[in-house]
Amino acid sequence: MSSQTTVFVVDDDQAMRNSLKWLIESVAMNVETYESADAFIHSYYPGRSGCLLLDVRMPGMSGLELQEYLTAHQIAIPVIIITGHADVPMAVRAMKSGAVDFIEKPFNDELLLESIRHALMLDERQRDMQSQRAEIATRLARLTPREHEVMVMVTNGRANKEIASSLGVSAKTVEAHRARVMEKMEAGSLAELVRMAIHANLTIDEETLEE
Amino acid sequence: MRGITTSLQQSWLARIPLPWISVVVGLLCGLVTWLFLDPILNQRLEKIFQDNLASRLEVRSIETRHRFESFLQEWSSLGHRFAQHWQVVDHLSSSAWEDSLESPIRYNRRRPPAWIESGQLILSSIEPDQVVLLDSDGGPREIFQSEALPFPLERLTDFFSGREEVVMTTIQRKPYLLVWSGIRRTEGFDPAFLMLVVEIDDHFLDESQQAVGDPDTVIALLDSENQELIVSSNRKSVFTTSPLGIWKEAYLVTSQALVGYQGVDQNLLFTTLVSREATMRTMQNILSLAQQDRFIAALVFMAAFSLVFFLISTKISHVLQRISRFGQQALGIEQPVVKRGNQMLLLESWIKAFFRQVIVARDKLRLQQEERLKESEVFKSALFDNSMDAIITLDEQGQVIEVNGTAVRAFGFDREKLLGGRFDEIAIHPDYRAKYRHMLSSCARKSGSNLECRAQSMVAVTGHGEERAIECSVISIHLSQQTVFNVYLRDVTGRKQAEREIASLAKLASENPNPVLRANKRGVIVYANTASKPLLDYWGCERGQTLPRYWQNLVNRSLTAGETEEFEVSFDGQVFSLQLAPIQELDYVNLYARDITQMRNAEMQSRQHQSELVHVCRVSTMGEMSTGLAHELNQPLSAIINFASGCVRRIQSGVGGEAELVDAMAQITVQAERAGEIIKRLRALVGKRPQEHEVVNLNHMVLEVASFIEYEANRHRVEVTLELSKESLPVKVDLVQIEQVLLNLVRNAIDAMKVVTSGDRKLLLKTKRLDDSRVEAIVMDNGPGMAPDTCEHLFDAFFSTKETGMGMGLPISKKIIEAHYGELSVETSVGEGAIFHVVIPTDPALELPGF
Repeated sequence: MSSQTTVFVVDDDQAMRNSLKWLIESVAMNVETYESADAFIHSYYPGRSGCLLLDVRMPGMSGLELQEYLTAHQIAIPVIIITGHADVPMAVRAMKSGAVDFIEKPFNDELLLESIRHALMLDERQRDMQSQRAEIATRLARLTPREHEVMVMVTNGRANKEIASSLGVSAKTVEAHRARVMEKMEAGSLAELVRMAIHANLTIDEETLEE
Repeated sequence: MRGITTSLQQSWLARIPLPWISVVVGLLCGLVTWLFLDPILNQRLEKIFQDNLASRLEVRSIETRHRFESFLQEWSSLGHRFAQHWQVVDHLSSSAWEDSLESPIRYNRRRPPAWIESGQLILSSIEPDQVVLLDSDGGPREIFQSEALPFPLERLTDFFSGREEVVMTTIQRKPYLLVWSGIRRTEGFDPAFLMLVVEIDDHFLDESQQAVGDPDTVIALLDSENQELIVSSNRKSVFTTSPLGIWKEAYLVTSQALVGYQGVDQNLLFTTLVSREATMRTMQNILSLAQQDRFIAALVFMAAFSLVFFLISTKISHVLQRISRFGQQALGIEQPVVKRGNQMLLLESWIKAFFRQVIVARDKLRLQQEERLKESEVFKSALFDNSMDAIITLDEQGQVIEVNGTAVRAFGFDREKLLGGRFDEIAIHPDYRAKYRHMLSSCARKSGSNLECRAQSMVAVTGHGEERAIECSVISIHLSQQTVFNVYLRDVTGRKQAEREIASLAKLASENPNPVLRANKRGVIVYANTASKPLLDYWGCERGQTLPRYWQNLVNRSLTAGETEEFEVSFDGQVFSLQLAPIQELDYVNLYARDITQMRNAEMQSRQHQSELVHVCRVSTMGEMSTGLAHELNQPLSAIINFASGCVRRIQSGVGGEAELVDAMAQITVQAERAGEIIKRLRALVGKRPQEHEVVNLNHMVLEVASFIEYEANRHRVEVTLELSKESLPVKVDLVQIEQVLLNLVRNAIDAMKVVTSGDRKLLLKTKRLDDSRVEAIVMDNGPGMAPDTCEHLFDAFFSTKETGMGMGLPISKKIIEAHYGELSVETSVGEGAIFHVVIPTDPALELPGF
């Protein structure tokens, strides 16, 4: 766990905040508590990694509303909802808005911590994916249009000859383009290139190219 | 009036006073007449003058000729006389005469003959030129020559015819007068003749007229052969030996023959010349004189007439002025009576305006009259139609001529049917027809007393066949042609009814089950009905006696203040409400008492019941409360778990410091205490209460609920309607719980209707029996209703559409109803409001406890 990873707790009840902080810190995680949704929104910025523990029933903005606010602002922090009286519609609403978990009070400490760990892992993965996608995008930007075309076709599983005939060039030229693509994309193998293409959503592009 | 003014301004004529106009007109008329008549008169005068002149000229010429001829005659006589003179006769008798001589003896002035005496032969200063004595043969013997002749004498003697005569002749263009006279000689002697020769010159002519002729008349001798004037009386103006033609312009010429004085070969005419100029002058003088006369006459005439006109018009003007002033004053019409100016024109235009005004006024008057007539007609017909009585007008035969509106309205008579029909047969009850006819006939005869025709009680049959008690009156109206009757019917059914009602009203107070009393200002009870007995007993007094002191004061106070006051009296377990109503004008106070014992009891029960309800209200809000409490309880419990778990983990991993752990433990204690507090509060809220089932009327419960929420409903402007089953709906239930359910439903409904426009919020509470074993209460609102998916979860716990609700009301209500083996259901859709059905089982055997 990186030291920057933080568990944000939003609950209007001070005892709850304190006790949660006490519990979560016992597994050496970084905890920040907020007494209302507004206070959280004011101090949080999207770059921070971690997860959010939300009480549903709060004066002012309720937990579910805060969750919807975050979704609306494309802030992808994993959310765990905590509620005193869970009912099905509320749970559905929370899950639909992308809550990672929905925990009913009083809860088992193991359950909560597990859920937090899961949420943090999701967060990390999300962030990895995001940075990978950004890396692939910078590499793709280096390609010439022709190389781009060749890469799309290659990752779609087309043989060099096919590519050569559809582009109206020699197989050798395709060969050369392909080598440059591998180089520029820093791909060690075709499989890696394909993975990158999937990350970058390149697969559908070929059809538009053929058109 | 404006019209007059304008026309006056336009007509300058109207500004000149009438007298002046008449003067001018008079003068003008005179002038015109003068100019017209003057030339005519002149002409006529001239013609008369000319005619006159012609005849006068003739006369004058004849006169002058006569004078001339008589002058000649005088010469003839002169000659004759001389011839007879003795000297001449003597001379002839002498011998001398006998001695004839060869040549005649000539004498002259220096040697005159003896036979002639000087001055003997002169006529009018004229002497003959030659005097000649002739012998019987005509030969001259002696000649006396005063003037020598320019020719020989023989030429003259040639004219001698041998007898006495007078002859005129011309010799050498000179006229001469020759006179022969016989001289008488003694017998025996030859006769001898005397001849006188006179030259006819201007002097002769002048003398011939014997100074009678006027200077403008000239006489002359005309040689007719040569048409030449030989000699004229005035040789200065008319020259001799001049042709006649040249004088015709200047003179009027008349020529006449001198018969008997002329020789044979001579043709001398006697001519009279009258100066034209002179006659013309005369005529002019006469004409101008006549003109002057006429002019003066005309002037005088004109002046006189103009004066008369002037005077008359002045008078007329005065009169007109008075008339118009009188008109103005009498008619009060403002109009321009101008003091100066032509009163006639003014009056004329004024009269025009006056007539116009009269016509306008007449029209206006007629309109007004018509209007008034119409109004009076309308008024009368309104009076007639809306009279309190039905009025039927009959002719002498008793047939209906006219019917008023009241007859149609109040008696339902068909107007068409009545008109022309016999009224008694249509409208009077058969039993009373004889009476009616008698009334009519006595009224017609005028013999019956007035009373017989007035207010006779009868029974009328209305158009609908109903019988009505009436009072019938008849009057006769004598018109010029006929007599008609007005029959007045007054419906006294109402009055009789009213009389009966008044009579029964009098009994109202005595029949009143509540005490009614009346006290005068001294506190004496003047009236008390039967029901007042308990009160009178309590006060220890009777009717006609004085009230207790305390009540006397109250009566007085109420009377003085004039205000109704209310008091309560309770005795022997009875409660009376006593109202003191003062009637100031009569100095009485009415006391209306009401036994309110039962009401008070009911109120007390109700209050008791209400407190129970309030209590259960709290209990059942426990449903909602418990949700809140559960949450509240969750908080400390979760916190406790968290702290505890945190401690365990720290201790297991050996991380936590002691102080830190102790602090957390302390937190656990705090939270546990907090939970305890919450539970205490919960217990305090919910008192223990066993369920009690009793038989009650569902209607009664609904009524009670309705009265409970009345205030709230009013506050939210919800119109509450009750449709309660007429039969009682007995159910055996826990009254408080069921009322709580109903209350909950009603409150929900009111809440739901908050979104509806204020004023359109309607709440219906209804009860009915479904069948023998079920009754139903319905709560219906016109709120927004609910969607089906909302409806599904309506009875789930913690489901709420309200922001503040906990979603426990309906689930609990449902639980309660189900506990009563009943059903709670809803039918609703969006926009249609909601209807909640509460169905509760009943048992036909159930009986409501008596009240």
